[in-house]
Amino acid sequence: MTDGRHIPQDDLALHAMQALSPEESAVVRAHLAECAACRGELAELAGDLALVAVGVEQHAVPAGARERFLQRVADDAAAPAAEQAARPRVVPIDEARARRGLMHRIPWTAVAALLVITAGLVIKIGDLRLEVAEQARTIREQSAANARAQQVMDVLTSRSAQHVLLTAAKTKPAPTARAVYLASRGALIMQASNLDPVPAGKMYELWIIPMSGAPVPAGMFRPDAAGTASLVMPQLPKGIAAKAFGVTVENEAGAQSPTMPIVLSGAAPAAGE
Amino acid sequence: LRGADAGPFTRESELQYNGGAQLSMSDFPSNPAAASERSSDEGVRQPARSPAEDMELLSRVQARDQGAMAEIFDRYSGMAFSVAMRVLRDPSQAEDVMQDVFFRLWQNPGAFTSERGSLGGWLAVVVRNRAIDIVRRRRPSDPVEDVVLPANTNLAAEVERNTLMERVRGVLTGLPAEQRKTLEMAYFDGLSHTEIAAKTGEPLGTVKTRIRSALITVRKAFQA
Repeated sequence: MTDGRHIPQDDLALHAMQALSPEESAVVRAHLAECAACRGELAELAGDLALVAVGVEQHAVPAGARERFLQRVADDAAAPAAEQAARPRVVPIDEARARRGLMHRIPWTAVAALLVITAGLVIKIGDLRLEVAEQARTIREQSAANARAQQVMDVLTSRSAQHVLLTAAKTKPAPTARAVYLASRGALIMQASNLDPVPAGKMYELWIIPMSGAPVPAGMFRPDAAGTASLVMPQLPKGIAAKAFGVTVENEAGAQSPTMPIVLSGAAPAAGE
Repeated sequence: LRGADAGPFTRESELQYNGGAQLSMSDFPSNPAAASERSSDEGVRQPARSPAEDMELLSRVQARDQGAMAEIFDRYSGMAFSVAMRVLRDPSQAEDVMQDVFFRLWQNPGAFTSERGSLGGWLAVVVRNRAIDIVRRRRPSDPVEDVVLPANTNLAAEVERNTLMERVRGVLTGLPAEQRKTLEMAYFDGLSHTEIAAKTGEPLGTVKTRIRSALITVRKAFQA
């Protein structure tokens, strides 16, 4: 392996590539520890190998790799102080030697036990942090969704919202209502405009005319002075397939079946869901 | 090139150096012509950086500055990923190796110092070694701290430039075919010289000489 003075360059190159057997490597290492010239040549060879490495065909980093890495770094940066302290760090040789005298007197079994306990706690803390972070994220998402849903509700139900019906020019606005209905969820939103006022003690009532069976009451409403009214998410059973919708005028208490005449009606197109 | 019995060095003058710190790869003259001829791999092009900037970034990483770590990642991840891909040929494994090397640098930025040459070159070698560990299914053999490149190289300023990559490619393509193949089997496929000899039917000494000769050709090509 050595030629009496130095490691042959062939073998240093193999060593730099980590291609030598462990036994051969050990011989090279022992020599390198004593020989600055061979260390210098090994560095030169590593420099040559670095050039070979950077000459490879270039590939773009996979999508998301940067985010994954930065997240890992951020998670590590946020790790508890205990974990940071437990991380190995490089101890200068002189410092390590200086400590050695003290180290003989430390009860190692107790230290080992403490390390095991600490490691367990650190892992547990890490798990809990992850869990908390996950829950916080879920809550943030839900809050955002709720805020948006509330805004939709506010716009639809606010008394100060302006309701404008656009029709062909020079047509006298007729009473209309637009119902949006999702049968599978029993969800219904209705907006009506240009309704005639109802006498005292009376209200409009919306009906779902199902594919089969009797009409189902879907909510009472009274128009404002401008003739506008809305019904947002009345209590409805799920899964009633609607054939049509109708509006009648009923007593304030509501009715179990529609009272003629039907003042507004509309056929439901085929369901989207 | 000298014969295999010429001793450890091919240049007498290198024996005069004290400690290796003066062993310098000459500056690489910039090569605008090559730059303008570059093919279409724009996606991996990164601007040139100075070694001093790298050290400044590392000192910020030492102070747990995540932005500085992101900048180092941006500078060298393309190169590091490409090296890992060349060895592993699998994007997911290659990303794992690349991520681990950068993450270890985040955890221990002191592993690299300016005495170890250039950060880019050092990362290239460390990534290659880690990738080879995966290929050989063995535990990491050497601590990364063991990798030392020549000081005073201009590799730092040049490593992320495609001009350098293209020049290296040109040099490797110009090697005798059997030299290049032997070097690639050893460096990128992780075969030992014994395995290469068994595979190619060449004597061990020939395999060793080819690897050494190929590396010396690369070195000479980048000397002024």
